[in-house]
Amino acid sequence: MIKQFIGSAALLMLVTGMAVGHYLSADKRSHREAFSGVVAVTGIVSPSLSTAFYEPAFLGEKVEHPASPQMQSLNRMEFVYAE
Amino acid sequence: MLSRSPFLYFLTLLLFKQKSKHLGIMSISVVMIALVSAVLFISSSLQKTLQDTLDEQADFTVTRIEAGRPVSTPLAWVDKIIEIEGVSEVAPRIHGRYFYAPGEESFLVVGIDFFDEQGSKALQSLLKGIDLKQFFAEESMIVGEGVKDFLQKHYYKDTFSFKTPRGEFKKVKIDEVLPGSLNLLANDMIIMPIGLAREIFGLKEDEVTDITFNVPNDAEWDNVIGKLHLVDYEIRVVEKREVEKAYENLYNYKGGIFLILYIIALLTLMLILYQRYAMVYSHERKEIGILRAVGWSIRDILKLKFYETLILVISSFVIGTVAAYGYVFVLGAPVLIEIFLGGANLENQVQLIPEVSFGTLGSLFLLYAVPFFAAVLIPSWRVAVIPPKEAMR
Repeated sequence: MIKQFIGSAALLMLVTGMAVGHYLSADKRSHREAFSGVVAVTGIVSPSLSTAFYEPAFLGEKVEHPASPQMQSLNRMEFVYAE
Repeated sequence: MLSRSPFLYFLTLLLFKQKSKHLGIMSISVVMIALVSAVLFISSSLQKTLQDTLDEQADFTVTRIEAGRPVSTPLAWVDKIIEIEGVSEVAPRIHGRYFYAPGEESFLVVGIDFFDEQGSKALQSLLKGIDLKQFFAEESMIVGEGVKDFLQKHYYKDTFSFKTPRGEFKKVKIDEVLPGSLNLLANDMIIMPIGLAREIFGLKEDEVTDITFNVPNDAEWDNVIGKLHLVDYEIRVVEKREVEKAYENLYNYKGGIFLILYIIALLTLMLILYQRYAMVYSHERKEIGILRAVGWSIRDILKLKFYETLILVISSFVIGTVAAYGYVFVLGAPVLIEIFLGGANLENQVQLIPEVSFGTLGSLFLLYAVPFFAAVLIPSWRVAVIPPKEAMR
């Protein structure tokens, strides 16, 4: 094997090792506990969707305008104040 | 010794001498694999996180429907629901979106009962330093990082004035900011006392947004739903299992679209590769002819092509997946995360929990490697079996 190949293979292994190390050392448990804490406080499990005001704000929420989903749905109990 | 093998020396020398030939195919492969792996990583991380947090969610959510639209739910339903056998932990909720017209953005306002023992304990464990006495000294709120950044941009440093439906302004102090690691769930969230949220949304004392409750015995779920519909005609019940299914389908669907695009791109790449070897005047064809002419057997040529392809396949797959891993779990998947969370409201810089589905990754590798090998080995074999003179012509 030529030197360049060995060098490239070593570099690839190093990068892979770093990714594996990151994956194994990630503190998944405390993250999950913190997320569960938010849900325990608020009771809302949906991720924080960055949607326009007239779009469904919660994941899995049904769109009530099946023919035109981009239109503001009527079934929202939310408050808009005029400018 | 492996490193002194003339075959390996020739193979690696060939790879580096013809690197410009391989770099093109490798870079296309890396981009394709990185893109599809990134989507799969985001999808599996979100799915796993949501699946875990879903355990904390109540089994049922009840709202009142009027003319097909959800409206405020009467608080009196709480007593009626408690009376149903098998029901526990009935809790009224007040939440909704507050639209901030000048910035055309909206926040999710959640009212919580700070006097509820469980809720206040959970809040204290979430925000270790929170001083509830100080929090109640004046009208205060806890905001997500996205909300804090947005308010600061609009010069609301310590307080924010909500406008109630009565046209009055309600000045609320920004008491605490939720940690950035919670942005996935709480980026646009504002947590405040339930009474204050009721005032901001203009709800009466006997009204709430919805009511949640649990039914610990799964076998009783359908029976309880039947009884709920007898409470009132205008009732709408959302079950936890419906939400679970919706989450699963949504992310599978989004990941699926990328997988289809990946398969199309992969087929195109394989076609290009196949053409490269099969073309009558191609460089590869001449190369195989020369090797045959100097005495290489068909088996040797196929072995050379196999190992050459194996190195290319493995290295491009590893580079692609590691790049995707870094992009998703170290950088937080900028741009691509917007496909999953949207980008029309507050900017959300999430920290995804590293979660890799090795089964999916293995399938992706097979889906990539098998056609790649086929596109190289089949035409190489077809060239290798013809006389060298003809192949070099």
